[in-house]
Amino acid sequence: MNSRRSKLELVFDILVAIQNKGGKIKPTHLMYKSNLSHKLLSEYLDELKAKELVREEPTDKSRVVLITDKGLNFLAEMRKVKEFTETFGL
Amino acid sequence: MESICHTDRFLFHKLFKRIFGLTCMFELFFVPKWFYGIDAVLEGIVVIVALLIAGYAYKVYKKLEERKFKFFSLAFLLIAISFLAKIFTHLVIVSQTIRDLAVGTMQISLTNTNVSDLFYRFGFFFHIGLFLTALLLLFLVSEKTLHQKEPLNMKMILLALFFTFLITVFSNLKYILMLDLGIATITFPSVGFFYLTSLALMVMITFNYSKNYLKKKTNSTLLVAAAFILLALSQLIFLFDFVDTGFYIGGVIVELIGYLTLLAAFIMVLKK
Repeated sequence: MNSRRSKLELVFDILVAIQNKGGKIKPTHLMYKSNLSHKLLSEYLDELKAKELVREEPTDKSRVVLITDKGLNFLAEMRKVKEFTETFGL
Repeated sequence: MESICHTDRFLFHKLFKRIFGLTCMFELFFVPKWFYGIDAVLEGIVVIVALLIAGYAYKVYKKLEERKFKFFSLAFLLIAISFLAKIFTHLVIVSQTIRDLAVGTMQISLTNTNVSDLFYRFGFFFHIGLFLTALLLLFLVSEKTLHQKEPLNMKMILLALFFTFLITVFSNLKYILMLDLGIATITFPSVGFFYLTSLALMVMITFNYSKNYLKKKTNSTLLVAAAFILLALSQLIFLFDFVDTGFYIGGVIVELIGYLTLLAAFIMVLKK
């Protein structure tokens, strides 16, 4: 039984965590919410930024991660894929 | 001695032609003539449903590159092609009949009959072979045996495909199995083995989707389980089409309702 999350599930969890926080989250909170190590989260965030699904904005003390419109569309599409996967037992 | 061998060879040739049904117009499926064309329209809807599901699964595969989506898409694509082969074969037969009526004769020459038979056989060989392969793939996907990252168990898959091929060939023979039970004789045409195999595969797929429903308990998983119950039921009805052509009509209708139920589940997924 493979309990490890797939890449899709990890990306999905990251984007859901940002969306659940109103579209804006601190990297440390995101690390806890998505249950990822700092190194792994940085790798994924770099990839998501390159694909323009998220962007980073500096704040007074540190920085926040924001979900883009493209990221929200991707998340909606992923929800359908997840539903399709569950419905057809894939 | 030579004449005996010659006779044997002649008898073998005659027997071969008889088994493969090349001496007279051969009918594999017991379809009432008035239903030709209507079944093509109903099965055309099945093709559209199968293509929609195959297309979406392929789109997901291109996005995620997970092989389970590729095999799922391939299974529905094979279902669509198998039904297209059946529709095309039936339509050609209908147009042949219309042509014969137009010239005022239903007398088909021996040459024409052989060509029609071979075409008929070829079309239904494709339909049966592709449909059984599709069900085998669907079963393997629903069993989650094609999910693992490990290399595919090619030996197992090739063996299953070999048996599928054997059943396809056997189902196309002009054989009627007669079982003498003493009080009654049961006759069973060879095409029944196709329905029996597809029924067995459908029952196993239904079992997996019923388990999926019991685990998830959602409306869409219930619809998928119900769809496969209907599809299994349609194969059971088809099994008796040699008794009465009404069974064939019933089978096509139940099959269509099954695929429409599958479409309802698919639409439910896309609307979320």
